[in-house]
Amino acid sequence: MKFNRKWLAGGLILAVLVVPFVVKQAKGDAGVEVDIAEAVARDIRPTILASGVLAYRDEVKLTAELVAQVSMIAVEEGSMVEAGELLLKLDPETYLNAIEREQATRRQSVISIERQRVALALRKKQFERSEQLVKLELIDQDSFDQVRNQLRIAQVELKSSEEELLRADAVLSEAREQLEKTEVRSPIAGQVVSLPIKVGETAIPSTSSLAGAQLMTIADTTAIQAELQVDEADIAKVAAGQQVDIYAAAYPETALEGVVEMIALAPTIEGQGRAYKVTVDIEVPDGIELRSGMSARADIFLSDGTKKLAVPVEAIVSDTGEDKKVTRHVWLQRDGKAKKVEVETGASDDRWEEVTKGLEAGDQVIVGPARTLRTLQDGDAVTRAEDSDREDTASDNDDEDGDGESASQ
Amino acid sequence: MSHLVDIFLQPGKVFVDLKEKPTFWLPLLLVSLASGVMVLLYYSTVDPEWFANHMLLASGKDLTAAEMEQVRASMPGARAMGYIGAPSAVIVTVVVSLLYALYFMLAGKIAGAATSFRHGLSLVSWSSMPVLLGVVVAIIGIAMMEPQTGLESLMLTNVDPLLVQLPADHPWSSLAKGFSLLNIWSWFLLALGWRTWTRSGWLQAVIVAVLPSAVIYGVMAMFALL
Repeated sequence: MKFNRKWLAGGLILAVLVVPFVVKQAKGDAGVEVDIAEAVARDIRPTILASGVLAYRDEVKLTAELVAQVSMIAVEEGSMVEAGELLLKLDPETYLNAIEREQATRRQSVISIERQRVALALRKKQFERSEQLVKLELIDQDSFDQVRNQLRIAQVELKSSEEELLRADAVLSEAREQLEKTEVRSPIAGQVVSLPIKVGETAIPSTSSLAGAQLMTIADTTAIQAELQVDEADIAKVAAGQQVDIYAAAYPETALEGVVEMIALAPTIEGQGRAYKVTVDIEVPDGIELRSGMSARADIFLSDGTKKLAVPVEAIVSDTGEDKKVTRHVWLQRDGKAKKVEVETGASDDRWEEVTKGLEAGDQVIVGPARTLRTLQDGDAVTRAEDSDREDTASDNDDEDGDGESASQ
Repeated sequence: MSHLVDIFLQPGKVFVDLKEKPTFWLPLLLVSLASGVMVLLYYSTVDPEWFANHMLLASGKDLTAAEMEQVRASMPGARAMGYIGAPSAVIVTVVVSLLYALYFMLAGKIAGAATSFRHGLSLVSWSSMPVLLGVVVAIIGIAMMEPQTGLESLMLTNVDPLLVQLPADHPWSSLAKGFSLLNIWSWFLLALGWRTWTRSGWLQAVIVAVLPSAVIYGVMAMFALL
């Protein structure tokens, strides 16, 4: 019995000394559980936010060039029209009268020319006769000079009448042109999207919003574009051809894909700020009905499409040194240990941040939990959390081979 | 000297002997010196820079890099910590033993048993012999450890790290790191000694033995729950 107790107690002591190490060995140096993502080349899509309105690509606002009463409107709001089609007629009476008046003026000019020609022919004969008489010294020199002067006056008067005819022609042409303007025709093929004027109202030539200044708006409704206002601080990053996601107010959850087409050279001033108009061509999917004037917000993607070595943004940890210099680092998992690596970063979007120096494709980057990232130390044992599957969730915009080239040193 | 072995093999016999001749120097010296040696060994083995960072992070304060540098500069180095910590460990062990002895003396008076301060100190010193095993385990761990290892992760007989590994800011972390499974053995020895000396029942013996620890760990548990 005594023997057994001795062995039992001895075994217990041995167990106390050995079991902890056995348990530790069995569990392994598990270390803290961390989420890990692989550094691979990705398409980083930094964006600029902007807002604006939608507008039909070809949209013309027709205004009257004459002051006249509207006598006839050939279309209705929503009508489809062809280029050159008659849309509206203004009362032509005033302009017909003007043409008649100018035609009469022209006829008078023609008559005047005929009279001048007859007078000129007479003066020519008188001059030739006087020339012979002065040679025979039958008339004095003074009389001859007078005849010659009258011939020259007749020539000038004829020329003046001819110019008068040209002027009358021009005035008549202008009157006819004015008459033509009483017929308003569509400059483009499209749809009448606005028709504020009515028959009997007086159209007036004005760009202001006076009643009668606007005749109608014709637009090509098959193509629509967004006119965005981009802040001057961001405009340098915007370039033609960049992709844009447009969210119209009527479809706040639907991203309409577009492409930057044009960037204004001059700014528009709104209050204290300056913004540049950026025109975006939109591809409208089926089932989406967009209208001109709808407000919209937009994400302009600045990426040039090249893939860059990137890690999740939460993996980048910033330190501020004594000299206020900010350094960035990531934690790598190497052989089950955490290793701090200083990195330099580039472009970023809301998920990924480019690493331009310090990492290589394939590095196992610790991305969380955030609390662990704050307390990690070089050499700490780490293990991949079982639900750490960042690569799969992130693979929607990276290629399968992860062909990121080395970006280190 | 045979008590050193018998306290593990046949503790009842040891306590019978101690009732007549309550000794305490040997176990008290062994436990306190082993604790001191363990602390000294640890601080002379650990990576000093890593340890400074480890302490700053363990403090739980959210410091900027500049503040951390300032605090680090004002902190004693790991080696200095060893020279300070080793005698401190010895002193703390002795002081705690004295307090426990006082407790057992008072408990004896309340229970109507004739327990002197010397008896109390003897009971505490011999009952803490299992703790010596824990210290030995830690010393073996230190001998095998990598330089970047926390002292708490070497206390392999404690709940943390033996059974669980809680993060430093976990509410139960302090309790798990502070509670050694060898306490149960010590409690048993305390209860056995008490029962042997006072001829009380097991219930009273266990209550008297566990009460101080129950108060200490109870307060820690309350903090964890709050």
